[in-house]
Amino acid sequence: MQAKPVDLTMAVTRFAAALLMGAALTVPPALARQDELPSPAYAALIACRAVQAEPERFACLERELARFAEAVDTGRVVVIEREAVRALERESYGITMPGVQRLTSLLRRGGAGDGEAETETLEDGSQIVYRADGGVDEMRALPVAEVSYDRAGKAVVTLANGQVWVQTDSTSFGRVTRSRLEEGLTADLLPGAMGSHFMTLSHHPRRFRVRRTD
Amino acid sequence: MALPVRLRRTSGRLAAACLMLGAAPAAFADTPLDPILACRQVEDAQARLACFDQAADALAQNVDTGSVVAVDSAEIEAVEREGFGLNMPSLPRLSSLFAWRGDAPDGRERPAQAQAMGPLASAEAAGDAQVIERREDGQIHMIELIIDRVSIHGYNTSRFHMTNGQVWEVTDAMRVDVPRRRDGEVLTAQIRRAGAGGFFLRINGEGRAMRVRRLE
Repeated sequence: MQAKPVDLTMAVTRFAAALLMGAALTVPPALARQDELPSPAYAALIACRAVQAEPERFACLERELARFAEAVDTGRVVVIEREAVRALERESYGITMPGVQRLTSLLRRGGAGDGEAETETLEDGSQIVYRADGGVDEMRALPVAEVSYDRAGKAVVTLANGQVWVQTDSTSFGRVTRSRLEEGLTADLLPGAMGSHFMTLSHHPRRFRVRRTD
Repeated sequence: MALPVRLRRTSGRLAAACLMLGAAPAAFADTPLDPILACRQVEDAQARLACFDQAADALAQNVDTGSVVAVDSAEIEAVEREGFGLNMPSLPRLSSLFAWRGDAPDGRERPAQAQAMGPLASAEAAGDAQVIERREDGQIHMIELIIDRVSIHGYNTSRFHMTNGQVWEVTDAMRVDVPRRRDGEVLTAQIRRAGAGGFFLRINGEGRAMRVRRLE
């Protein structure tokens, strides 16, 4: 272990030179993706890992970490976990929220390319199918809290997670009785064309068009 | 391995975790950033480098596998603005990123204006919606939207259609006096949280506060 004093200015200059001269040789492929992330402070910090010489790497890490920490402390940069983004994707299902879509794409860009569609089972027994390109595709076996009918006879389905979906077509399916609800009714939500959605309730196989209202 | 470490409040736990050989720093962390920030507390230069290396690798790995992402806070605020008034239970958790962190990993305190106004709340980034006020826990308390038009539904129920696409409906069944717009004048709606999950709207931030709920 060598611990010779490092001239910071020298280290910075040499680091910059190394980057300029041999970017293709010293920078791992993953870095190209990280440059696209909207946080330059993070990209700069992570880029330090590619510096081979220990004193230079140390200087780079200390310098960039100080900048990064300042960005974090002042709230300019935040780190979000996939679980938080997924919760937003589920909660905004049926609502157009470009900001959530953007977070999804940012997370994907950092991640290992195009993933595969993935199914997650939540604590309440519901199953969430995430698309390969991010975002929620389907939600299955969602516990239903209440089903009521409006004046036109359309079903208004309140899910246990708080979402309210209203029937928009005139498909008829078995009326939901109190006892059916108490037996444990669940709902499946599937995407239709042009951002529309279909619902199927577990007591009857027929699907109907729905729109989220809350 | 006895290394000189200066421990400081809660970050001591994290710094210690960082020094434990073979232990993944992330497993001990409150946030994915805590391990690497905590490394700065390690006084011995070699140990600090080792801590940096390990924590930077762990952080980069988390990003590469898509389990975390580092983003500009403006991205988060965009989601908060879009979701303001909607039934989205995880939004408060997201907003808590903007909460006052008096006990940050490095012990520094966040500048006062960052928690009062929300970071990077530039008009440019905000577009047609602007965060006016945040609470200490990071939640948006008041937001300002631009009114596109007001429509009447059913028995005199007013709906405010905002330029960013949001629709808010007046629920306290009182008449809405919309000030007449002069040439080029913009009407804004200041919407703030009321108790029990409700919201109040005031046109241009003046006059009577109307109870509203978000429709779209």
